[in-house]
Amino acid sequence: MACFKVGGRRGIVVAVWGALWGVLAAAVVGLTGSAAELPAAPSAADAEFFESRVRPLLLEHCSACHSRAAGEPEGNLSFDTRSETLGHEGLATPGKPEQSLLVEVVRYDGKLQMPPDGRLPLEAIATLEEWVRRGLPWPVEGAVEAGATGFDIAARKADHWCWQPPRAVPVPPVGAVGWCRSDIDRFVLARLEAAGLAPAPEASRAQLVRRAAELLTGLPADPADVDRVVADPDPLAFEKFVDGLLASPHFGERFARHWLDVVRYGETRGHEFDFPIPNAWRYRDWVIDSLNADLPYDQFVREQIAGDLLDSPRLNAAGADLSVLGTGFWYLGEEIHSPVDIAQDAADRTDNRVDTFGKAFLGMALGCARCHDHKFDAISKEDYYAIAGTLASSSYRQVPFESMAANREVARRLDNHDAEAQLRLGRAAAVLLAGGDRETVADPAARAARVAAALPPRAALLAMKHEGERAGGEILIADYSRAEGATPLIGDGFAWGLRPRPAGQARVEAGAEGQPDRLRLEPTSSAHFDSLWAGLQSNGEREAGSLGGVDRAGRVLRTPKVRIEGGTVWHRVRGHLQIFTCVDSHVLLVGPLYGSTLQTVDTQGEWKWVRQDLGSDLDWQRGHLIHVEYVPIAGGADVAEVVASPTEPKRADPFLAAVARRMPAEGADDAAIESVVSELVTEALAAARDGTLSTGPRALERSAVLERLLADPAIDWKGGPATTLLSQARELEGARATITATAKLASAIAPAILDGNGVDHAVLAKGSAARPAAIVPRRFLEAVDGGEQPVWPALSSGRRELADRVLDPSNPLTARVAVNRFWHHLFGRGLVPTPDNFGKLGEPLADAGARALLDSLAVRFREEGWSMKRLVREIVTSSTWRMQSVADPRAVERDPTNLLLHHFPLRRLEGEAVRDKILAVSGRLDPKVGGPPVEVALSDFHEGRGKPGSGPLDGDGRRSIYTRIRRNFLPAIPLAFDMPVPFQAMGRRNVTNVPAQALTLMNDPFVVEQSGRWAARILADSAAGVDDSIARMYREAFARAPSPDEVAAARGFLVAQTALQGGDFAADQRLPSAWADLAHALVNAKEFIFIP
Amino acid sequence: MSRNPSRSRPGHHCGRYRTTAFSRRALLAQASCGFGGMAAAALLHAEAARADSVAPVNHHPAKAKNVIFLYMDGGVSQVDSFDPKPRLEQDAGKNPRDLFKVDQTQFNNVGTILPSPWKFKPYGACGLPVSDLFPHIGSVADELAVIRSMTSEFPEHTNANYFLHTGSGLQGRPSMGAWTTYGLGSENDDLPGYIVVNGGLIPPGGLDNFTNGFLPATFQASVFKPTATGLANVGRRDGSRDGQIAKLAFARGLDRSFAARLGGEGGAPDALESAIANQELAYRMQTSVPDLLDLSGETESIKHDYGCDSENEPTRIFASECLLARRMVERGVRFVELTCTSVGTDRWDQHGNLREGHAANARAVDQPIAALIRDLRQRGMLDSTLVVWSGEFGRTPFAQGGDGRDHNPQAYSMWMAGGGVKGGVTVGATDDYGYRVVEKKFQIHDLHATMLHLMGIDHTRLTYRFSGRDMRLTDVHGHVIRDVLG
Repeated sequence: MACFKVGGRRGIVVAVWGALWGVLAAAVVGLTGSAAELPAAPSAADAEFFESRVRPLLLEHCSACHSRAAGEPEGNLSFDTRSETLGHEGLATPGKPEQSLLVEVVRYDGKLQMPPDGRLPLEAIATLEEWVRRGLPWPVEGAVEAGATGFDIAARKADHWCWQPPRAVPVPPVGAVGWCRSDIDRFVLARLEAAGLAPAPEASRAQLVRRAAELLTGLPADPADVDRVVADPDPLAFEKFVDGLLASPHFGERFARHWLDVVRYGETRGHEFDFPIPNAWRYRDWVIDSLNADLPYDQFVREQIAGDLLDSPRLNAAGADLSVLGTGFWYLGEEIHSPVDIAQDAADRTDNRVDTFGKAFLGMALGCARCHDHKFDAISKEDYYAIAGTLASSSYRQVPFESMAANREVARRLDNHDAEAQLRLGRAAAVLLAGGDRETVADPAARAARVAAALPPRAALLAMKHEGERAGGEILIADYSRAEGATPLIGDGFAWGLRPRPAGQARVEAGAEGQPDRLRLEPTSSAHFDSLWAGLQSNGEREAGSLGGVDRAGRVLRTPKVRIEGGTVWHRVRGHLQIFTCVDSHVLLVGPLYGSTLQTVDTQGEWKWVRQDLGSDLDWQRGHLIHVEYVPIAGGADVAEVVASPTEPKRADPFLAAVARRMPAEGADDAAIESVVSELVTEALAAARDGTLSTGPRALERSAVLERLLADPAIDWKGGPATTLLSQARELEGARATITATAKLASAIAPAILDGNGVDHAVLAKGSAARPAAIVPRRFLEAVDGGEQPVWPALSSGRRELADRVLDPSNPLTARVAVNRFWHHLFGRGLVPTPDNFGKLGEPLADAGARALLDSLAVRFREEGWSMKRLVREIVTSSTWRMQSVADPRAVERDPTNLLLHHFPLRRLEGEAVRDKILAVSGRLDPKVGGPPVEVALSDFHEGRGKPGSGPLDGDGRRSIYTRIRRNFLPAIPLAFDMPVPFQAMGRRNVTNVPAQALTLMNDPFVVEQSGRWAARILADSAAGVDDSIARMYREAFARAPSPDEVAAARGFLVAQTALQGGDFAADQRLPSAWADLAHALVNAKEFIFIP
Repeated sequence: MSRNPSRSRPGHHCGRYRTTAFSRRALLAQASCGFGGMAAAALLHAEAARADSVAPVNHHPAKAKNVIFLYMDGGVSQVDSFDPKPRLEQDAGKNPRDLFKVDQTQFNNVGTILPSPWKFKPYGACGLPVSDLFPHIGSVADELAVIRSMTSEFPEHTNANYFLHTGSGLQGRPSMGAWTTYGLGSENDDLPGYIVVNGGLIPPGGLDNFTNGFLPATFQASVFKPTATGLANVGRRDGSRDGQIAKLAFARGLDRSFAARLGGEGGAPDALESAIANQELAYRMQTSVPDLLDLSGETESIKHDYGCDSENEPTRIFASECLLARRMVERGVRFVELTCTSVGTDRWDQHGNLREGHAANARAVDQPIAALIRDLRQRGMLDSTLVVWSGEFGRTPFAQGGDGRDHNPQAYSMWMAGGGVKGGVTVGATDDYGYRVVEKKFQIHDLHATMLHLMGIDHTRLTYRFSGRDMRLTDVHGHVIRDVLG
């Protein structure tokens, strides 16, 4: 029987991804080989059967989707030609309908059911079964078959501007030179003049002060500032004012909110119960602080992608690691609890992360390439999965960022200390045991005889000759027990040390009941958590669900990620531990499924193999990508080995195994065994003396030998030499405790990413986790880096490299995208109007002049140090930004949408800024920056599961950015004014006009309450007259004084409202409710929320 | 096996990438000149249309003008409602894994085959079998087109709810009501075009089941309660109406001078004009919404038919939801969705205690729904009002534990009535156990395509450009379910 084409790379893929389609996969793996061939040409009868029965059926029922004629064939399966169909991996097993996916799907037996719109007639199903049974006969076509449809990255790149590197083009010549303050102005003016237009006149200083204050800090200008700037004779008075705004902490709050839209920032995970993302606000504060510190944009990006991997992370004055906080970026999206298809859920979460990454930093819709090569842009699905691999390689954690840097140093010192201690104690013990001192140790020959006598019978020893080798059915997840080639340690802090602790480590064991203390050696290497770290304590919110039951941060030992196909995992551990086997990166352990991934064990100080059965909750047919996390609950803990295996792993005692290996196979008498033991003892003692006990492939064996010698009852532990040794050991343990005492045990925690081993991702056909195809190595976009790229490291995720590539000068996107976002926020529309999409389907640049302007800004932004504040300053101090917002009708006729910027566009405040402004004028605003969020004020119209308790109506006076962003309970006022639902990057908000906005300003209790408060504050100045008070309110609301007519109108309004409320204005000019009405009316005036 | 020979895939593999000649947004942008603006184009569609000669999307003549979506939150069991399966009696107590392949379920607690605790009997001239859960709905059987072959892609609530409402299992995509009002606008000057009447249970997934997603916020649902003020901030907080009018008039004065200062010779910016217009609409809604919610003008017999006087509180609440739905449709609201009300146990999500739970949920909705259909028929409104009854998925024919049923996205029953739907028909079939579809398998996208079709919209041509794609309610999927068309 002929076999399918599953040669080379693809065959390996199937093997790695395991039992892809159950029993079928085994057949495919079995067929892996280089001699790929299709079924031979069929007999005449079979050919007739195919042509008359099968081909019409395929054409009628399958080819609508599975054909190149329909574009890209669904699932990359085409029924167009013999080779495409029969060469499609995993389609069917010739002769075996019961093992053929094709038959399973048409029978509607499994999850995948074809055709999707209804089961085929029974006779059609029978025909297909018969076709498979006959061995899939299909006559050989004569013509050469067409190849796969082309996806040409080079052509795509050449076809779209964004892939060309930005060039600093010369500043164009202009006529009205005097108007220009900067290059920005020259670029803008050149375009206007080319269109025969002139820029609008400059806005008044008062208008500029309002505009700058509200757009740069999101808060209204202080009337005193307006007066000061207006009166300032300095021609650079406005520039000075802008510098003040940029230095204000409110600048960071304002632009942080813009960035939070881009990173789909939320503080809960949405879905059914809206569980919290613990401590997400630490990321929000990191953004605010970074902007206020004018962190260079490249560093801002680097810390979000890979802030955990920097050689020298930024530390604050207290030593807290700030860089790692940026990586919270990856985990701000939605998460689902108890997803039924956990692998598909992982694929969906990864998609959100890759998509957000692409849009945020590259302005490129990478998510479009999840299911197929991008339809229009130079992004292949391999590009998508190459980046997805960096995420598959990493995992979620809550990081103790305040203590990390300090404890890294402690761990370094401990590591040095331990190496030194081991050397010294090893030597001292060797001297003791070598028998140099007759007082303490009996003669060596007698000792060897005693050891040999305690060995098991010869037959049993002989049976161990081959023990210690790993059994065939085991898949190794981590092995910390080896002295050489041990699994590298991944920890979320440094309490597990910098590397596994080698075998042979000495410790003093207290003697029982009047027995003397003695020295013991650890018989195995292991990842070791010293009980000296047991006091670690994290401050912050815990995880919802089962994982939150234990304080984890800083205590986690994480294994590499490994794909396994069976649901039983064995852990060789010692101590009281929480064991969490994280399946497909799923961490939200709430609800009916996946309880078995978490288990607690206490081995009572013994080494034990602990079994964890993950079978019941999970479908293992397709395998799962797992890693294990260990958290000590009390005292110390050790992990030696982790394997997936259906049965308990067997490991021989290294000493016995060594004896068995050296024994002659036949005729081994007592003398021979004694001599083998003697040999081993001599070698072990020599190793201890020269300090090589714990190194080399025989470390475990030698440590075991020494440990046996130390157990020799002949040793007099009360004798002088032994007590000297013990006191030396105690002294070293004391020194160790002294080092550990300098550790920083308490720390705040924050969501962050944890790096792991490199896991390359498979391309998922149609984005479905059920359909893995070729594995792609982790790398950056081919369109930027070309087809031949260096291999990224196997021992880390590659996020560090990813950040490097994003920021490399050869990447044409990053600087442009950044510059354009600031332009967008300051002018209300980017030079590229779609800030998250610079691809072919984004809205294009208006013209070559816009491109030249964008490129010139981008090049300088990068070359001059990526300063975001400098960029903002350059834009807002330009003549372009200072234009007034009244449009010349002739310009409007020529350019109705103001693409050329002939006037400053009227801006409407975002919902957060509307609310903040109301707080500012009412006097309730608390200017405090940062800190834990305030719960959202709920109304009767906030409904849903997981509904929290309501926060205060006025949000404690804190700015809107400090209201907790609960995905399912978004704050009412921002939401009414277009705050985006945080699900994906949203660099450009809607600016809508809906009656709900007017209803909010008219009737929302917060607005009404704060209006009253504003009026009361104004009235509190009893010295001010009515007209002064009116003027003050206008100046606070609109940054301008009222005209005499307006004062008169406001007076008239106060008179009328006072009368309506039963008062007489002549007698009572300060009726609070009348003034509250005036305040409320001003809030409802459009000038309050529209910035000219 | 039935396949519609006339339908074909929409040419390109992935229709959302095609640009279309017709851009609804472009038209709306034009409509935003002058009174009303972009928002009012939906809320005041008729006026905007007159003023700016913008016609609603009509790819073909519409049968239905309005939709009432009766959302059966939690998933009604098909084998206990509209899809009788005598085989369940025969195989009662057997292990389903011995009978057919069982998929992984949400709770993975597979019990034995569980026959329906309810009897079925034929109703109407068409003889539609309906279980004893729904005697009132049975009484309008000749109006119903029951689809027994609906499927979902998601076996758990939140994703399935998003899928049912937005055509995507992910959060944040525009809902079917948003798409409909985006396509057609509203016919009422004083009310939003898309209203959800919330009986008390917001489904898992929250208000994003009713979101405008990436469509302009104009098209998001306004969530009303069936009682009290109905809508957030619609109640005037000013001490008096005159006081509020004076306040708004004063603000209007400020707005006029603001607009004049900004306007120059060219007139004030559109956004400003729209915001000014919205304040008027908001002001009117303070009156129109209470008027809508005031049932005192309804006759006692009508209220009695709906169950407004039922001794069962959940029935009373759902009765007022149904009555409100009719009143909204009368007033031209384009898309109305009703959510379930709490019956003391759970929504239709009976993982245990099927008999009591389903009975309580049915008792709340059965009489009001039947009354709604009769009322619409009697007023001559049913032919232009599409009524859709559906949950997010079905339930397993085997027990979860002893007396519950788990989620089953493989097959479930739903029905439509009015609005161009053929009454008294049953479409599609499940296997002997009601577990999987074996005939005319349909998908949520097909439901959406059909609803839009009845409204005169070709679902492949109602698009909105977002994130570089021409997005559709039906993504790249969806076929009109022609069997239900009248």
